[in-house]
Amino acid sequence: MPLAVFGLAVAAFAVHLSGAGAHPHEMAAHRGAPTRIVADRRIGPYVASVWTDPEVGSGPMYIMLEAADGQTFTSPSSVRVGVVPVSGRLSEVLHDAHSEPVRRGGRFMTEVSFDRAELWNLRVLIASTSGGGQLTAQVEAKPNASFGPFALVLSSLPFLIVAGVWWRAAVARRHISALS
Amino acid sequence: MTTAQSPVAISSHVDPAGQSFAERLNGPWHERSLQVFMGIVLAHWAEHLAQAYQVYVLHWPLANARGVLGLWFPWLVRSEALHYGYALVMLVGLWILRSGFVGSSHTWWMVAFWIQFWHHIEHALLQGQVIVGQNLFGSPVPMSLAQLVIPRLELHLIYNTIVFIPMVIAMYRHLVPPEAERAQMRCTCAGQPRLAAA
Repeated sequence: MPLAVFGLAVAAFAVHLSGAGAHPHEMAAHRGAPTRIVADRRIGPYVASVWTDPEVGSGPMYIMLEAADGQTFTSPSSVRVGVVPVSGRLSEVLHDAHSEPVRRGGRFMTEVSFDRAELWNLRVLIASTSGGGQLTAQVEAKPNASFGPFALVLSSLPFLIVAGVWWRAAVARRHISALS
Repeated sequence: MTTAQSPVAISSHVDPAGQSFAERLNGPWHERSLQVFMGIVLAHWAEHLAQAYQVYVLHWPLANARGVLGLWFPWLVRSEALHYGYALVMLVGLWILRSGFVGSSHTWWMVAFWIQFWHHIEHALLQGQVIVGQNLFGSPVPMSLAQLVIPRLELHLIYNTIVFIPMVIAMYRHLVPPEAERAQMRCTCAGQPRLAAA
């Protein structure tokens, strides 16, 4: 029985690694999930949605494209994402998004960086043979790891708890030995 | 049915002769197995502690704070192989060591198992989305159900915490059992078979 369970576990791990190898960022189950900040906005021949996980630091930006008005989808030649603080303290930084395989429409992804928790202007620029355009939006970058320094305390607790259980068990054992 | 066992009876349970591997794991080897299992659990917590230290004390960027193993093997963290491998080890360990627990400790141990089982279902859901090539909720990345409620990095920490709590209660009840449960135990964890052998 334990060997069968072990075999199943090895198989499950192998399947997981096959997926994780092919789609490393997609398998990031414990990374913050992206939220949609722009929904179904028309840009040229496309209907675009933008998803991001706007934490301070490096964050993923996804641009989901579908063909507008029942047209045939033609992949854009370039998708770029520009971010700049609303405060104007920095100049805009443009990031080239790369295409990712999807069954329908197009999905483009890039990593952008928010160096501070504040409001940012976002520009998505799309170019293709059948037209293009840009959309704008605003996104608020939030401090990462909402647990904050509490994560340090939480991660320390198991060691204290196990030490406490071990100590209590040792006392109980000594008590039993004394009784015998 | 609960019956108190004599020292001789307990001693005969501990004799590994004629026992299957599973019976040995949950009998004479249970104490050592649990120590190893708890060592793995604490090593994993140590990774999280190291990561929290890197972020909040050393002020490393989150992307660079990969714990200890992640510094030498970044792909382990990037691909989540470490997380998934640990989730699997937990599931297997909780299952194969369960029958050594009796009474209330068994109940708590199984609570930990079922929570971990659900954690694994979430991973299977993510895996399924990658295999099928279609994500839930129109998301650009595979989504687990808990991520709808807790869409944060801390979800993993929360899962480990809510599995760890019933597990450690089970350990406590197992190591310091009520008398009625002590009589049913087949392992050396609470100390009585050593008394029998003495």
